[in-house]
Amino acid sequence: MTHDTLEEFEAREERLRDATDAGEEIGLVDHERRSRRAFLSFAGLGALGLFGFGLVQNRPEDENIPDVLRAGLDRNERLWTSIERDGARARTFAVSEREELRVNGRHGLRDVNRDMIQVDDDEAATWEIELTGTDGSALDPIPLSSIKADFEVHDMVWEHKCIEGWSNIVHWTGVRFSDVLAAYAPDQDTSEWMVLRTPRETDGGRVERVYSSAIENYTMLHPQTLLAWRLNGEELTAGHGSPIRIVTPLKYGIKQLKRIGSIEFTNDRPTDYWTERGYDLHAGF
Amino acid sequence: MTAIEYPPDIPAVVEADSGETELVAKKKHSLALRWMHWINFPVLMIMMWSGMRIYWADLRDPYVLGIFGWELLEFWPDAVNSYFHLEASLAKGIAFHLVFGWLFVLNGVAYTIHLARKGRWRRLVPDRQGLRDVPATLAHEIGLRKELPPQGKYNSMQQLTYSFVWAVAMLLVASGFAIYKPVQLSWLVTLFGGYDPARWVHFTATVMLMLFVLVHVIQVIRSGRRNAASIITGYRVEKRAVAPTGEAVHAEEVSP
Repeated sequence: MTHDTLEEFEAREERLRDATDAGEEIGLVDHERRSRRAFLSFAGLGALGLFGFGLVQNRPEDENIPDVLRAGLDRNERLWTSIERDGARARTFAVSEREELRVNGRHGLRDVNRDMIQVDDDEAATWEIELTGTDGSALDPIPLSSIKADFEVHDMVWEHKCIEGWSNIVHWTGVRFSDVLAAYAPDQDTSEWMVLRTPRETDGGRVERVYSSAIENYTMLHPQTLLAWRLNGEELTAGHGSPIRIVTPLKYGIKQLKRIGSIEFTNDRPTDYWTERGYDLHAGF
Repeated sequence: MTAIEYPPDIPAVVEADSGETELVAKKKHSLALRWMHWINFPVLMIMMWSGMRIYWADLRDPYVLGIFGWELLEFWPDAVNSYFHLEASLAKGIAFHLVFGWLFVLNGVAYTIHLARKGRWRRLVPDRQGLRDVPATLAHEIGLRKELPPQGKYNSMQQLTYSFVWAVAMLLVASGFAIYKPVQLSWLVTLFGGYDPARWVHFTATVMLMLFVLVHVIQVIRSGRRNAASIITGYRVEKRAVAPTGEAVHAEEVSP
C-alpha cells in the first residue's frame, strides 16, 4: 500500500495533535523565569538525592550494613510474612534431573589449621545434636542414630539456591525436622527462632570458628525442611556437612547449616554468622 | 514495501520561511513526568550499582548473551572488574537492591498510571502509520533523509524506544520479584519458565536498559540544549515563522 486515504490521514493528524500537550505556549520572558525555577528545583532534588545517598551510606551500621537498610530488610520480611503463604511449597523435580553440587561454604567445618575436619563412622555413631530451650535450659539431645532410624525418610529434589547467584537441582535424603522436634522437644515448637550451630569441638580437633544459622519457626517446621544425611544418593561428605545438616528450599544456602552440633530455641531476634556480616537475617524465598 | 507518500498539501515539516521568525516556548513535559524522570535516574543508578555488586558475587559469569551457541556478549567481562579493582560486596549490594527496589517499583507504578490516564499512552505506543514511519525516521536520524514524518509528541523511533523501555522495566521488576521470592511467588517463576530463566531475563533486561540509557544520552546531546532542557523546564523553545500579516503559520522545531 502506498498511503492511507485522505480521511484516514486527517483523522490521524487530529489524533497526533491530541497526543501533544496541545501546545500551551508562553512568552520567552515567562519561560526564562519558569526555567530558572525548574532548574533550581531539580538541582535541589539532585543535591538532596546525593545527600540522602551519602546519608544512607554513612548511617551507623547495624550488623555491618547501614541501620536504615537493616530496618528495610526487616520491614521487607514483615511485608512478605503478612502475605498469605501457608502451604506454599517449593517446586520439586524428578531425581533424574539432579545435578552436581559444588562445595562452597567451609565455615565451621575446618580446624585451626584450616584443614577440613572429617567425621568418621565411629564419631557419627555417637553424634548428638544438643538442644537449648527458650528458657536457656539444656534439653535432652537428639542422637543421630535416632534421627536415621525412628522417622519416616523422605527423598526430595529441589533447586538449591546460593545467595551468590547460582543454583543447582539437588536430591536430598533425610527426615522432616518437624517430625524430630515433635518427638524430642514438642514444647519448643512455638519458639519463634531456632539457631543452629556447628560444634565447637570434634574428635578431629577444635574448629577454627563456629558457624551459625538462625531460621524462623515457619521455615523450620515446613514440611520441606529436612535433617539430611544423603546428597544425590551418597552419604554427605565433610564439605557438604557430614554427618547431618539442615536443608530447605525456602532459604538460600547460607542458611542451610552443615554439620549440626546444636540447636538453640529462642523468642528473641537472634543473629548468625552471615547476618553479623551484613546479610539479611531472613534470606528466604 | 513502497515509500510512504503524504498528501502534498500537508508537508511533514515546513521549510524555514524566508520571512520573519519568532521564538516561542511550547509546553512539552508535564511536571509529574519531569519528577518521575528525575527520580528514576538516581534510583536506576543505585539499582544498577547494587545489582552489579550482587552479580559479581558469582564470578563464573554464567549469563552470556548469545544466539545459536554464538557468544555475543559475556554479561560482565572479568577484565572490567580487574581493571577497575571492583571487589564484590554482596551483602551491601543486596541490602541496597532490596530496599531501593521499592522506589523503582513505586515510580514505575506512578508512571504507568500517568500513561494510562487521559489516553497518554497513545503518545508512546506507535500506531500502524507510526510503525510504517520507522524506516523514514531512522533514515532521518542517520542523515539520509531531510524531513521527519508527521509526529505527535514523539517521533516513531522515540515511540518504539520508549514503549520498549517501559516493557523492559516491567520485565525487570517481574523477573526481580521472581528471583527474590521464588516460593511465595512461584507462579511468577513458572511464567518465566523457571528460576534460572527468570535470572537470565533479569540480566538481559538490565543490559537492554543500559544500552537504552547510552543511546538516550547520545540522542539528548544530539538534540541540543534547548530541547534537552525541556525535561527540566517542561517547555521547548521553538522557532516559528511569522506570516507578513504577523500571524504565525507553522511551527518549526529548532532542533530534531
